[in-house]
Amino acid sequence: MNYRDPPLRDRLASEYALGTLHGLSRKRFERLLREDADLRRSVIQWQERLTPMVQAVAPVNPPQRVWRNIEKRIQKSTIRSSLFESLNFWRGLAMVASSFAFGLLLFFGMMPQREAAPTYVAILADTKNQPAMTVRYVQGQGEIEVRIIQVADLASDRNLELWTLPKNAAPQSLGLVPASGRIKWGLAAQRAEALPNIPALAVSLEPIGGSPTGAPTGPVLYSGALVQI
Amino acid sequence: MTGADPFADLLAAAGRRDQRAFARLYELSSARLFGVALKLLRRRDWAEEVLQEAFVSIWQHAGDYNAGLAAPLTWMTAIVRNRCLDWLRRPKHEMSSDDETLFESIPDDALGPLERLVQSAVSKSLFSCLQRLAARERQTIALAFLHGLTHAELADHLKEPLGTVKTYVRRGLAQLKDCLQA
Repeated sequence: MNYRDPPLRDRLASEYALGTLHGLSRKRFERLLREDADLRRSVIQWQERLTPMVQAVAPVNPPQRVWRNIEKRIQKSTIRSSLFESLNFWRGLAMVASSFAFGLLLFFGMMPQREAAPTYVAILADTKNQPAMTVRYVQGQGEIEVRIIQVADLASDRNLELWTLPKNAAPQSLGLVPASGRIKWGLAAQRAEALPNIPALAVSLEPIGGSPTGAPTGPVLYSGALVQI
Repeated sequence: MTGADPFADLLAAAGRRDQRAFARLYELSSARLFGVALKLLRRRDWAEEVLQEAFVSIWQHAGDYNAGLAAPLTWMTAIVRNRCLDWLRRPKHEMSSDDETLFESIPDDALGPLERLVQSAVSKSLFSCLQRLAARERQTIALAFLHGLTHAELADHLKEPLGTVKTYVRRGLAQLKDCLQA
């Protein structure tokens, strides 16, 4: 068959869209479609012509279990794909250059999800891309967990304070973080609800007890994007 | 392209991994697509499985969806129909040509009551063009698109030679295109 012959191409596209192209011809045609954008357009045009016919079909509500199964499957795939996106994100911003940080992202990405609740993770790094700490939040649990990797030596009269950086609003304090180890604390429901919409977190250097003004007063030492995994 | 299309925004949001938008998209379109799958497969369990697979695939590819090429519902319907056709044409599900029971549920007028159809300008023009075709041509096109019949199955169902049925399909599609472009 000469697949360059326009009338033949259109006829094949029409029969493919209709569904009457089968067996080997359908497979062969699908192979052609992959590398022939023009042919794909013809198929889509035919689909646009024919698809309104489905309005002749009475809608039938599928049983609940179909959605439940879909939900389970897409949550699994989201963990994988957002891991990929977050890797790209980090690469793109050159926030985290060290393989150690990538390893951490992988670690977070592969962690078994005990429940389906979305998990948010940030790796906060300094201006040289050295990761300083990880922040993790599981929606529904209402707790935020910070693990210190390594932070700069702190003067005895200074604390590190963690902030959310909302898109169109001033930073809001999440609390003080230690210079080593890990810490977990509960978030007020209102703060917890807002967290998934927060694009990034930052840590500033503050006087003991935290910023006296409610806004960061010292330099921002570490920052990173908050991503859903 | 389809500014007023509620599916376009939801699909775009699903492409950005917005699960709530995807749930809404399912809510709005699943009954229609399940109807399509049921009609093609004629078995509830198969239709459920195909619908599930199709929506997982819609989720995975929502980010690649090109709004300039096809309307969202066309795109989603094509995913469901392709999965149904794959399913029907897997060797173990191949319908034997003498299996009359499978065809019992197919009405002679595969398009069903016309009142349901006249919803949008697009479907109005498609249906008025379908009405202009000769009965056999209209029938073959509807049976193939909505019920997934192959040429051989169409020949069987209509008790006509295979070559004749192929001509109906070819002529019907060509006339439909001319009529829609007019």
